Amino acid sequence: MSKRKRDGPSVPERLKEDPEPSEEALETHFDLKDELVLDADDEESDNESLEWEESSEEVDNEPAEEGEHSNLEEEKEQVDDYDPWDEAEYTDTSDEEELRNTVGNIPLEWYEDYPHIGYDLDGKRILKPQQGDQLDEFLKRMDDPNYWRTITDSTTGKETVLTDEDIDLIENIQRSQYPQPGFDPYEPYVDLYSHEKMVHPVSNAPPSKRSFLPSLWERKKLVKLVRGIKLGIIKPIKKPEKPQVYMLWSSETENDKLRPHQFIPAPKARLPGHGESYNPPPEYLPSDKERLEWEGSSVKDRRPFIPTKYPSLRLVPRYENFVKERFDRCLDLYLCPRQTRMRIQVEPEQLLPQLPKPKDLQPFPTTEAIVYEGHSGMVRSIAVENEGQWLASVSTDNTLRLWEVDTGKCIKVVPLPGKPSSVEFITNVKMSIVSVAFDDSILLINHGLTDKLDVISTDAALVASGEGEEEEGERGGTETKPKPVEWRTYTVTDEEYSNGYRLSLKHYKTVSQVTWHHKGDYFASVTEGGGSNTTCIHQLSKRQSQNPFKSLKGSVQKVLFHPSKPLFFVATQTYVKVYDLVKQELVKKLTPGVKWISSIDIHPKGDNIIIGSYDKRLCWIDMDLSTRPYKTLRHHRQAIRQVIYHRSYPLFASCSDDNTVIVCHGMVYSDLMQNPLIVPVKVLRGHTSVDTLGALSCAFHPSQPWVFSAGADSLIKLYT
Amino acid sequence: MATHNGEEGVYIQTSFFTKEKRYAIEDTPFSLPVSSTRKDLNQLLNQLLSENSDDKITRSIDFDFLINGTLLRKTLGDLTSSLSLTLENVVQIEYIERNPPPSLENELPHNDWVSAVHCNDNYILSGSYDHNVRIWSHSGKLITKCLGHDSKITDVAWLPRQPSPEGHMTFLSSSHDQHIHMWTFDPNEDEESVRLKVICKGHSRSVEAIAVSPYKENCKFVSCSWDKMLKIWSGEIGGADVNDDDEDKQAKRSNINLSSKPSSRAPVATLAGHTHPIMCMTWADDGVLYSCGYDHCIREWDMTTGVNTGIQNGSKVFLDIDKRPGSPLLVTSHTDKHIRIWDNRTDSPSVISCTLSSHHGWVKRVRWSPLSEYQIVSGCYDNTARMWDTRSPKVPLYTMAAHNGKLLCLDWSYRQLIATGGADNTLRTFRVG
Repeated sequence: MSKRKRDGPSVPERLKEDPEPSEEALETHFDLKDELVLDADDEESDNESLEWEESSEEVDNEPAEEGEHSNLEEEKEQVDDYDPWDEAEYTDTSDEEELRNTVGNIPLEWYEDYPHIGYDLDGKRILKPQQGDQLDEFLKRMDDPNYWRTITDSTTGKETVLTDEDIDLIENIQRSQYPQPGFDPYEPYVDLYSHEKMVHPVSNAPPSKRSFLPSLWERKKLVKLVRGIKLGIIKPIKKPEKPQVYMLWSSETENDKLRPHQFIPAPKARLPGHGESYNPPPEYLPSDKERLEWEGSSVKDRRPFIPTKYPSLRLVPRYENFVKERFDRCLDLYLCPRQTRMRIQVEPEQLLPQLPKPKDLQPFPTTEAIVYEGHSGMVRSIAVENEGQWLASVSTDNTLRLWEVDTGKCIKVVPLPGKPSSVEFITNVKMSIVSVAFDDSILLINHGLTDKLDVISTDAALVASGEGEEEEGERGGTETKPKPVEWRTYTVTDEEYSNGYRLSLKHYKTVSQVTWHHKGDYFASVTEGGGSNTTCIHQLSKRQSQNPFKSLKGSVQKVLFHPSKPLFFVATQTYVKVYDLVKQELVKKLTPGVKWISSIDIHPKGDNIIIGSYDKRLCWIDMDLSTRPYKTLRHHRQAIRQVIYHRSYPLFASCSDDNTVIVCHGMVYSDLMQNPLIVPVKVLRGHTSVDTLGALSCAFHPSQPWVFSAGADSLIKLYT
Repeated sequence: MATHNGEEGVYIQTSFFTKEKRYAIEDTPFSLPVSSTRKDLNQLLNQLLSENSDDKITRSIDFDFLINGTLLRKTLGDLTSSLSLTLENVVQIEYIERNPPPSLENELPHNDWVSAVHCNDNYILSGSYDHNVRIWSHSGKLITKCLGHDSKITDVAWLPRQPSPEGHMTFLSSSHDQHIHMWTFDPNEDEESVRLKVICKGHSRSVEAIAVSPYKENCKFVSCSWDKMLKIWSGEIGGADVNDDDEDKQAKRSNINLSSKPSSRAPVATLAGHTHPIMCMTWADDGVLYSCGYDHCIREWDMTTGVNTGIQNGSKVFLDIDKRPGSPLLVTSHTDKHIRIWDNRTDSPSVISCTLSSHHGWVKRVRWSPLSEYQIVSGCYDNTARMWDTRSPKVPLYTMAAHNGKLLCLDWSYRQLIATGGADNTLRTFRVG
């Protein structure tokens, strides 16, 4: 290494020769360092020279400062103080070689008494320049125009005439301006090291390799810090806690926050009106009688003020209630808690339940398809045969008509001896019987329209039961118990037999309804006019009649058998009572909340019933849910005559005196948690009212979503 | 396009062609106004024919015009816009000879509503609510009246004519009294021309319809009933039938000779499957029977094995069904005023290819035309019969104000004769073509 240092100048050459980093990269690195050291030495020397220059500037400045003095002599003296060495330093011209200061920086007084100053290289005296005396001085001052600018070099004693530039310089210094004449302090700025990217960068050195490498010592330091933090030696520097400040003049305090935010303005006091005026209009003034009345009534009851008229405002007396009223007002404001009353904006549409559209609930009857014409009186009741091929109707023209459903052809007309009120097909499909209630009797008629074998077997069965009945009757006679119903069998010899009459049951009162048990052996009848014996249950096979209810409160309107259980529904005017026929006890009492029940029907599943009433209401009662109506529909404008369920489709219908039949979708779900869905789907209009009576009866087709309606206009219509 | 606004002065390039060679004309394009109707085209065509043909065609012929298989009913512009044709191309118009509207020929009075009718080549068979079956000649003369049933006649049908030496014709009648009677009719005899031969017993409710197999040999027929059963019967007159005492009563009441007692016959087979009453049936050519009724579906039966081979579900009650001869298209009529055409061939989920709706009541009867594969005639409770062309399904071709009451039965078995019976106690015949 030392060897290399010795032949230092060869190092850059070597670098040039070997630009590739050799296997001795480390060594070359050191070489570079040495080179840099050398360079640094050079720079230092440069710096020194700069310092020198600076000091020379100071030298320049000094005489200028002293130049402020107007006296030139003094100036001269001052100039004499100048360091001759300095002078020698920058007057390096060959012309003034002999005048060079050789004595160094010593006071010149030491050479005052000598003719020379110092010595030259040859050891000879350097003579002082010729010094004039006082007179020469004066003459010079008088004659020499340059006298004022002549100064004496204190180090050599030589006189020098200042040039114009020197004068300018001195003047500039005196004026505290930039000393250099012609110096422009506001030169346009040349942005040498611009922030802008240049085409040719100032330095094109590639980034150093070190900048890409992670620093080893930094990593070490980090590891140390991490370890310290983990061990808990180094703790995070806590931020100095800020002093708690608060809004000094803020109106909201903690208490305010707890208060309700909404400001409720105090209720306004009533403003005085015309009555309170001192000169009220005459209509406000009370009459004498009123005034007396006011004065006579107690203070609490009467109004606090009575209008009074004064001729002028000056004469108005002090208001005596003033303090009391103010006090009351203050009490009101202070003691009465105020509360905003929330008013909810509700659209009327939102209150309505979300029901599916009728279109999605098809099928249901929509259009009138067939009209069954033939009756000449009001059609009181209709019934459809089990298969849906035949339709039976009874009318006030005292006939029973049997119609073919498909075509509207009247197949049979059976004359009846009295005014019929109700017709019903037997529920037993094997028997061809239609029951008609008229006046005080029930007629069982063999219509003979279904299977011929059934017709024959029906006749046979009736005859057989009749034989049994006779024996029964004999025994009944011995018991002397009054029979509620008289049974009569028509025989082949009777006139009416050819009309299909088979049996008649004579009651004591007008029979209003006949209804069949689902097995087709029992049927129940209702007679009009209250009291006991209004409801009878008859057994066809044994020809027995019994009156299960000895005393029933209220007049019975309708009765109904449950489709599967031994339950019996009795509808009085306002209640529906449910009896268990086996246990013979009251099970339930349904209160539909209507004034007069007109009809009742039970859902084929047996858990829901609908009740129609003469006061226009239709109630749906879910018997599992409650004894009160689940829904009450008031779609009809007049009394509802009959309500019916469809046997297989989720439909129910009601007919009313307003000549409409309203068909509703009534879906009963097998899920007990789900309430039935009731949607009115169709209003069927087709009848015209006669004597305020409209559609009197309606019936569903047993297998199709079709509904029949019978009206007081003697027509029966089928809607499909 | 401006042409679709139906403006005056807009023209379509058209050219006429026909499949009937005797009416062929040169294939020259014509420019016709969009507002031109069938009559205008007809006039033009007749003029062309009279100009360039020989003297054969002198009378004016009524033509119908088809564009892409759709009949021209209104104006050219309407049809092209409904078919969304561009008017820049030449529109090809096919012309066919137009069938004249059916003309009322006879009005045959009955004592009660006419519930069934069937025509063959010479005679019209009608059944009525007065329990009688009547035989009429095509000219409207009552040949005979035969009483055998206890209740209203629901359907009548001629059996295919047997090659019998006596020239007998056999017909069937079904009734509400659950029986089907098989009668022979000998037109050559003046008295006792009709004999009740066989009484078919087996249904337990009223028989609604009978359908005779189209095969002449091994004659069979099927009946459907309100008891939800289909029963297959042999159609032969002679055979192992049982006589019983009931027949005596039947025969006594009938006004025909007792010399030959009617025999009683049991069904060959019973097909159960329908859950509701069956209203109608129709035979297909390949031994397949379609039946439908109140249970909203068409059941397809293979009649050789008696197996229910398919079900097509509808949504309304079927009142009548008819099969187009030689194609799998079925036409059904419904209680919801519509006539539907069912096409089994389509892959689409809906097999209803077309719905014809113009009636205002239950469409009781519907029949394909024996003349044209496109024509349908339907009878409805709105007192009218309508003739339809499947090429213009929106509007019927002709509406025949047939009756003053409900139209209950309709037949178009014989080519030129449409017979309708109704609730005004008349049977009317219409002459076609």
